[in-house]
Amino acid sequence: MARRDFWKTVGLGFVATASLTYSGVASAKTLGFVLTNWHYSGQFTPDNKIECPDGLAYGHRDNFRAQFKTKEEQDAHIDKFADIEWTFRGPNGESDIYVPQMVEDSLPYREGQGKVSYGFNLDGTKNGQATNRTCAHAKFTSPEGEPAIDNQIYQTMACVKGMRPGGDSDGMANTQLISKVVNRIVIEITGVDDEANDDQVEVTIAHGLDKVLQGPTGEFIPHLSQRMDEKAKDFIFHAKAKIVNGILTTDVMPSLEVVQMSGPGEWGVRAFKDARLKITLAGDHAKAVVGGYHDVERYYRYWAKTVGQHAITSNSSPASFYRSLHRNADGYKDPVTGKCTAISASYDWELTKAFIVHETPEEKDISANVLSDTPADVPADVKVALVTEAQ
Amino acid sequence: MKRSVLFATISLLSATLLGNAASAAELQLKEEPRPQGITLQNTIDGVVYADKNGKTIYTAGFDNKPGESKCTDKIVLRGIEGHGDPFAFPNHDNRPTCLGQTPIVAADANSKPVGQWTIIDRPDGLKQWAYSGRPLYTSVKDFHPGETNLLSLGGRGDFRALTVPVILPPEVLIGQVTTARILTTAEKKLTLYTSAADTNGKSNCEGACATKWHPVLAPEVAKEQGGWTAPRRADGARQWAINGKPLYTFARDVYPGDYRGNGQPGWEVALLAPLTPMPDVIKVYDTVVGPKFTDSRGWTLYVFSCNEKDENGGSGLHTACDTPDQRSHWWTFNCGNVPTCADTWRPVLAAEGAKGDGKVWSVVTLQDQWAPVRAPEGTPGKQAWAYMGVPVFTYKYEDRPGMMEGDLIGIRVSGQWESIDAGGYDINHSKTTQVRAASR
Repeated sequence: MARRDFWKTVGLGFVATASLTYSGVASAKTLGFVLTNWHYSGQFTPDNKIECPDGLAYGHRDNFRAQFKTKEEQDAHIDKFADIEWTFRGPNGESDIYVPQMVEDSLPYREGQGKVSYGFNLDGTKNGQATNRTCAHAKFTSPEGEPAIDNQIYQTMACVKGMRPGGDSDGMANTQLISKVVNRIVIEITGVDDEANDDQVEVTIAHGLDKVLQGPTGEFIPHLSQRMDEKAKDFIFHAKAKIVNGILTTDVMPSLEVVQMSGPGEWGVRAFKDARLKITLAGDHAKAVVGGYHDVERYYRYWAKTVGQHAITSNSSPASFYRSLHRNADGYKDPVTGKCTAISASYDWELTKAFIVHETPEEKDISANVLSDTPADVPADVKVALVTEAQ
Repeated sequence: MKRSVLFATISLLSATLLGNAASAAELQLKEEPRPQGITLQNTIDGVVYADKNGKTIYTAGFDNKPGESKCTDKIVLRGIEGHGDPFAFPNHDNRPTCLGQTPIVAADANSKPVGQWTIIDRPDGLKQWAYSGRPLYTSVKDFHPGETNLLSLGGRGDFRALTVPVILPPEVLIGQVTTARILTTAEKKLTLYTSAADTNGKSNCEGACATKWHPVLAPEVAKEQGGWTAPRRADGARQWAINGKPLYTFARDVYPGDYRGNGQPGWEVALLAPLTPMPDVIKVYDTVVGPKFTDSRGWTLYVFSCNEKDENGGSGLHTACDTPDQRSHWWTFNCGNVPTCADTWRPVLAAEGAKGDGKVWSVVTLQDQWAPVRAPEGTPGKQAWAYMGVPVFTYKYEDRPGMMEGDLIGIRVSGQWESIDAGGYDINHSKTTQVRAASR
């Protein structure tokens, strides 16, 4: 081949390679994340004076004492209805946690007054006016000035001591993220040509099967394997997304359900309608926001058995909390009653980069292949954790 | 129900065949003397000692001093719960007592100690049998011989069935994956398997096979007895075998309770007894927290567990508030009142003439007025399916398989609804009873 032809060939080869790169065929990659921390979105100041100017919300122990003022009255009620943890406050001893409709709190309920929150404009309006599907409500602005954010659940929970970032329930929920696996959430992003700007990627949010690990300083170790629980099909959700300036935002997901623990021991399903996810793709530890509507009754049932059951720890008063949810509901207007049946909600998520592992044919079929002594797909550092667990 | 993975370090179990002998490993009972009137009974927890009426005998975790029983007829009206707040037990006018719910196994005036069996002179003047110093009881929750209903749900924390010792090498334990009793290694509690290719009591799994199926090695000085042999492998090492079947672990099992070798052609989990068959109306769905028993639609089944825990400076005893002779306020606190509870928690009614195995699945009579607890024995009424004597229910707010929204509703220290673990339901079986996930 003549020298000129050679270099022409090489040059064309470089062009061809570059073309393959920009077409995404050769360079599309996959990103993976695991959820390692989460809180309700909103404005939470150290002394809570902005968001709870009258003080934090009363708990159900406070309301019990307001309802039964003397020790004699309290003891008589406790004995009559076998009350436990101040909860059987209905007229016939019904639980304020599980049957809040039957219990009235006499103390005023303090709702969040803050105006700042991450989240999404779920109803599409600028100022929260009522539409044929939504009810009138206040809007929030993000710390960076993004307007028209919907996050009505903040008003209900912001002054509940235990649910605030760093509160008992919040703390326990995040401790459980480390110690348990039932609440494992993994995110896989495929078809990524450019982590800065990409007009179409695919996002999968699913239940995971593995623990998260922390290093000696408490930081979550990135790039470890996280198996996607492909058997739990009820908890696998897909969405298309765009990346703009390093921020990924999904399209609306009609439904998103994640398994979470919100307190000491019980887990439940946090179910969203019209859910969206936004992730700032920077470094090994990314910040994200997930938002959508919760059906009020379904959310309350989830809350009751995870946080409400520990109302003393969270210093919540379930009867008031329930009524506040309904009062602040802003979505899914019932065409007959005109009342909104869902409440907008937003959560701040912290993610750690992970290598998402899918079931191999071996996992699925347990084939006759010869296997090594320990599962080949488990990295050495995770193997240590698994063996320790077995012992 | 907390029958997850349980390891009987006392090694007191044996299998009397309940079905197909070929799929179960028989263990030989240790011979030991027992008093007259003490019988043996087959249960899902193995062969247990029972009283003269065949009722299972139990020991109690709260009896922590040898020869001393804490169970009395003392009536306790109040307790202190975990945060230090006082609370009242329900039914002040008809309080259950420990002795009322778990009567002692009484010795008569002529009884004499024998072997491990001794007699306690109680402060109330009664004489009570003890085994290895542990006072013995029966339970009002057991209606028929062979039942171990006291061990379901919250009861297991306090009580153990008094199982008959079996011959077991130090390297092997009895394990339990919910209702499946299996052999496991002692060290890491990994599931053991047998191979159909192993005939004549020797292993045919060598080379590549042995990297996948690891032999359970026996020491050079292993003593062969009671059905246990330790034949040599090709490399000269000895391997434990039960009734001529060498035992192995599976390379991909990592945790206690794993049985990933299940279904491998030619291999079986070393079951101690064939699995209890499920009634046709009962299915299994693989939820995000593992397999759970469901109704025929795949909707999760729940049972209600009610325990009164007198802790925090109290007697330390737990009395059950879910026996048929009670009507506890704690049954309805989490759903309002009887009508709203009946709408929320719905029993699985049984067809006329339906029967279960009688130990795990049975048909019981419901109480006249909605209750999460069966009616007293012999009472007429609607028939419903029950798990270990407790009626099973579905939850109103679930409308598809795999939902677990009813799980753990209640208050842990009093009464709580729980789903029923079905782990191990498919050991050595096909999965035809499993409800497949419908597409959404």
